[in-house]
Amino acid sequence: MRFRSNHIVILLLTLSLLLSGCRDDQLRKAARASDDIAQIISAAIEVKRSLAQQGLISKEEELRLTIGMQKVNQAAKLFNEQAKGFKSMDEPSRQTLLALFSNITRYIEDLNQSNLLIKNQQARDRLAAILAGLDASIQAINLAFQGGQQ
Amino acid sequence: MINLIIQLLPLVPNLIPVLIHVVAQIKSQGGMTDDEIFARASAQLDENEQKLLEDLKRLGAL
Repeated sequence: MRFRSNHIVILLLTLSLLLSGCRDDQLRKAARASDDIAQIISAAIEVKRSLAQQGLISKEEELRLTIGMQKVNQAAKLFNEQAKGFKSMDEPSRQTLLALFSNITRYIEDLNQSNLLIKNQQARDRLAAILAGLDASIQAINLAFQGGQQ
Repeated sequence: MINLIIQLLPLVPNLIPVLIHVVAQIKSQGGMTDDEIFARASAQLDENEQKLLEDLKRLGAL
Protein backbone atom coordinates (compact mmCIF):
# COMPACT_ATOMS: atom_id res chain seq x y z
CA MET A 1 0.00 0.00 0.00
CA ARG A 2 2.80 2.36 0.99
CA PHE A 3 4.65 1.30 -2.17
CA ARG A 4 1.67 2.33 -4.32
CA SER A 5 1.31 5.67 -2.50
CA ASN A 6 4.97 6.46 -3.08
CA HIS A 7 4.63 5.71 -6.76
CA ILE A 8 1.54 7.86 -7.17
CA VAL A 9 3.02 10.78 -5.26
CA ILE A 10 6.28 10.81 -7.22
CA LEU A 11 4.44 10.40 -10.51
CA LEU A 12 2.07 13.29 -9.75
CA LEU A 13 4.85 15.59 -8.61
CA THR A 14 7.05 14.92 -11.59
CA LEU A 15 4.33 15.12 -14.20
CA SER A 16 2.93 18.30 -12.70
CA LEU A 17 6.34 19.94 -12.77
CA LEU A 18 7.17 18.79 -16.27
CA LEU A 19 3.87 19.73 -17.83
CA SER A 20 3.52 23.09 -16.08
CA GLY A 21 5.60 24.99 -18.66
CA CYS A 22 3.26 25.07 -21.66
CA ARG A 23 5.32 27.79 -23.44
CA ASP A 24 8.37 25.56 -23.65
CA ASP A 25 9.62 24.65 -27.07
CA GLN A 26 11.12 21.22 -27.68
CA LEU A 27 14.70 22.33 -27.12
CA ARG A 28 13.77 23.71 -23.74
CA LYS A 29 11.97 20.48 -22.97
CA ALA A 30 15.16 18.62 -23.86
CA ALA A 31 17.13 20.84 -21.49
CA ARG A 32 14.64 20.30 -18.72
CA ALA A 33 14.58 16.57 -19.34
CA SER A 34 18.37 16.40 -19.05
CA ASP A 35 18.31 18.35 -15.83
CA ASP A 36 15.40 16.36 -14.34
CA ILE A 37 17.13 13.08 -15.05
CA ALA A 38 20.46 14.34 -13.68
CA GLN A 39 18.80 15.48 -10.44
CA ILE A 40 16.80 12.28 -10.01
CA ILE A 41 19.86 10.07 -10.62
CA SER A 42 21.69 12.11 -8.00
CA ALA A 43 18.85 11.48 -5.55
CA ALA A 44 18.84 7.78 -6.44
CA ILE A 45 22.58 7.54 -5.68
CA GLU A 46 21.99 9.10 -2.25
CA VAL A 47 19.14 6.70 -1.49
CA LYS A 48 21.23 3.73 -2.63
CA ARG A 49 24.16 4.79 -0.42
CA SER A 50 21.85 5.30 2.53
CA LEU A 51 20.30 1.85 2.10
CA ALA A 52 23.77 0.28 1.90
CA GLN A 53 24.91 2.10 5.06
CA GLN A 54 21.83 0.85 6.89
CA GLY A 55 22.53 -2.69 5.73
CA LEU A 56 19.24 -2.91 3.88
CA ILE A 57 20.89 -3.98 0.63
CA SER A 58 23.75 -6.42 0.16
CA LYS A 59 27.06 -5.60 -1.49
CA GLU A 60 26.00 -7.56 -4.57
CA GLU A 61 22.69 -5.73 -4.77
CA GLU A 62 24.40 -2.35 -4.41
CA LEU A 63 26.90 -3.26 -7.11
CA ARG A 64 24.11 -4.24 -9.51
CA LEU A 65 22.28 -0.97 -8.83
CA THR A 66 25.46 1.07 -9.19
CA ILE A 67 26.21 -0.42 -12.59
CA GLY A 68 22.60 0.19 -13.65
CA MET A 69 22.71 3.81 -12.52
CA GLN A 70 26.02 4.29 -14.29
CA LYS A 71 24.47 3.15 -17.58
CA VAL A 72 21.52 5.53 -17.18
CA ASN A 73 23.87 8.37 -16.28
CA GLN A 74 26.11 7.72 -19.28
CA ALA A 75 23.13 7.63 -21.63
CA ALA A 76 21.84 10.87 -20.10
CA LYS A 77 25.25 12.47 -20.60
CA LEU A 78 25.20 11.56 -24.29
CA PHE A 79 21.71 13.02 -24.63
CA ASN A 80 22.71 16.22 -22.83
CA GLU A 81 25.89 16.70 -24.85
CA GLN A 82 24.05 16.24 -28.12
CA ALA A 83 21.03 18.35 -27.21
CA LYS A 84 22.98 21.34 -25.94
CA GLY A 85 24.75 21.57 -29.30
CA PHE A 86 21.47 22.17 -31.13
CA LYS A 87 20.38 25.76 -31.69
CA SER A 88 16.94 24.79 -32.91
CA MET A 89 14.89 21.63 -33.07
CA ASP A 90 14.41 20.53 -36.67
CA GLU A 91 13.21 17.06 -37.61
CA PRO A 92 16.66 15.37 -37.82
CA SER A 93 17.61 16.86 -34.43
CA ARG A 94 14.37 15.65 -32.94
CA GLN A 95 14.90 12.13 -34.29
CA THR A 96 18.47 12.09 -32.94
CA LEU A 97 17.28 13.08 -29.48
CA LEU A 98 14.44 10.57 -29.56
CA ALA A 99 16.94 7.80 -30.36
CA LEU A 100 19.20 8.88 -27.51
CA PHE A 101 16.21 9.13 -25.23
CA SER A 102 15.20 5.57 -26.07
CA ASN A 103 18.61 4.43 -24.79
CA ILE A 104 17.94 6.17 -21.50
CA THR A 105 14.54 4.49 -21.33
CA ARG A 106 16.06 1.07 -21.96
CA TYR A 107 18.63 1.48 -19.19
CA ILE A 108 15.97 2.73 -16.78
CA GLU A 109 13.96 -0.41 -17.50
CA ASP A 110 17.07 -2.48 -16.72
CA LEU A 111 17.51 -0.55 -13.48
CA ASN A 112 13.90 -1.24 -12.55
CA GLN A 113 14.54 -4.94 -13.14
CA SER A 114 17.61 -4.80 -10.87
CA ASN A 115 15.51 -3.15 -8.21
CA LEU A 116 12.91 -5.91 -8.38
CA LEU A 117 15.63 -8.40 -7.43
CA ILE A 118 16.38 -6.65 -4.12
CA LYS A 119 15.33 -8.88 -1.25
CA ASN A 120 14.52 -6.26 1.39
CA GLN A 121 11.01 -4.89 0.83
CA GLN A 122 11.71 -1.51 2.49
CA ALA A 123 14.78 -0.95 0.34
CA ARG A 124 12.95 -2.01 -2.78
CA ASP A 125 10.06 0.39 -2.08
CA ARG A 126 12.30 3.39 -1.44
CA LEU A 127 14.27 2.84 -4.60
CA ALA A 128 11.09 2.16 -6.57
CA ALA A 129 9.72 5.54 -5.53
CA ILE A 130 12.78 7.33 -6.90
CA LEU A 131 12.83 5.24 -10.06
CA ALA A 132 9.16 6.09 -10.61
CA GLY A 133 10.24 9.73 -10.87
CA LEU A 134 12.72 8.75 -13.54
CA ASP A 135 10.03 6.79 -15.40
CA ALA A 136 7.66 9.74 -15.24
CA SER A 137 10.30 12.12 -16.64
CA ILE A 138 10.94 9.82 -19.55
CA GLN A 139 7.28 9.31 -20.33
CA ALA A 140 6.44 13.02 -20.20
CA ILE A 141 9.35 14.00 -22.41
CA ASN A 142 8.69 11.23 -24.91
CA LEU A 143 5.11 12.47 -25.21
CA ALA A 144 6.30 16.04 -25.63
CA PHE A 145 8.75 15.13 -28.38
CA GLN A 146 6.40 12.86 -30.24
CA GLY A 147 3.41 15.17 -29.98
CA GLY A 148 5.15 18.44 -30.67
CA GLN A 149 5.92 18.58 -34.36
CA GLN A 150 7.37 21.93 -35.47
CA MET B 1 1.76 23.59 -6.75
CA ILE B 2 3.36 24.44 -3.40
CA ASN B 3 0.16 23.44 -1.60
CA LEU B 4 0.03 20.17 -3.51
CA ILE B 5 3.59 19.32 -2.51
CA ILE B 6 2.94 20.18 1.13
CA GLN B 7 -0.08 17.88 1.13
CA LEU B 8 1.78 15.02 -0.52
CA LEU B 9 5.07 15.08 1.41
CA PRO B 10 3.77 13.39 4.58
CA LEU B 11 2.91 10.34 2.48
CA VAL B 12 6.60 9.70 1.78
CA PRO B 13 8.40 10.69 5.00
CA ASN B 14 11.52 8.68 4.24
CA LEU B 15 12.11 10.59 1.05
CA ILE B 16 11.26 14.12 2.14
CA PRO B 17 14.78 15.65 2.08
CA VAL B 18 15.60 14.03 -1.24
CA LEU B 19 12.26 15.04 -2.76
CA ILE B 20 12.51 18.61 -1.52
CA HIS B 21 15.90 18.97 -3.16
CA VAL B 22 14.73 17.48 -6.47
CA VAL B 23 11.59 19.62 -6.51
CA ALA B 24 13.58 22.78 -5.71
CA GLN B 25 16.04 22.07 -8.49
CA ILE B 26 13.34 21.34 -11.05
CA LYS B 27 11.30 24.37 -10.03
CA SER B 28 14.31 26.64 -10.42
CA GLN B 29 14.49 25.81 -14.15
CA GLY B 30 11.82 28.45 -14.74
CA GLY B 31 14.26 31.28 -14.14
CA MET B 32 17.06 29.82 -16.20
CA THR B 33 17.99 29.97 -19.89
CA ASP B 34 18.25 26.74 -21.91
CA ASP B 35 22.04 27.01 -21.88
CA GLU B 36 22.07 27.39 -18.10
CA ILE B 37 19.84 24.35 -17.68
CA PHE B 38 22.02 22.26 -20.00
CA ALA B 39 25.13 23.43 -18.12
CA ARG B 40 23.66 22.52 -14.74
CA ALA B 41 22.59 19.12 -16.05
CA SER B 42 26.07 18.56 -17.43
CA ALA B 43 27.69 19.43 -14.09
CA GLN B 44 25.28 17.20 -12.19
CA LEU B 45 25.79 14.27 -14.56
CA ASP B 46 29.58 14.65 -14.16
CA GLU B 47 29.18 14.69 -10.38
CA ASN B 48 26.95 11.60 -10.57
CA GLU B 49 29.59 9.83 -12.63
CA GLN B 50 32.27 10.57 -10.05
CA LYS B 51 30.06 9.35 -7.20
CA LEU B 52 29.24 6.14 -9.05
CA LEU B 53 32.94 5.52 -9.77
CA GLU B 54 33.69 6.05 -6.06
CA ASP B 55 31.00 3.51 -5.23
CA LEU B 56 32.36 1.00 -7.74
CA LYS B 57 35.81 1.36 -6.15
CA ARG B 58 34.38 0.93 -2.66
CA LEU B 59 32.57 -2.19 -3.84
CA GLY B 60 35.77 -3.60 -5.32
CA ALA B 61 34.56 -3.51 -8.91
CA LEU B 62 37.36 -1.24 -10.20
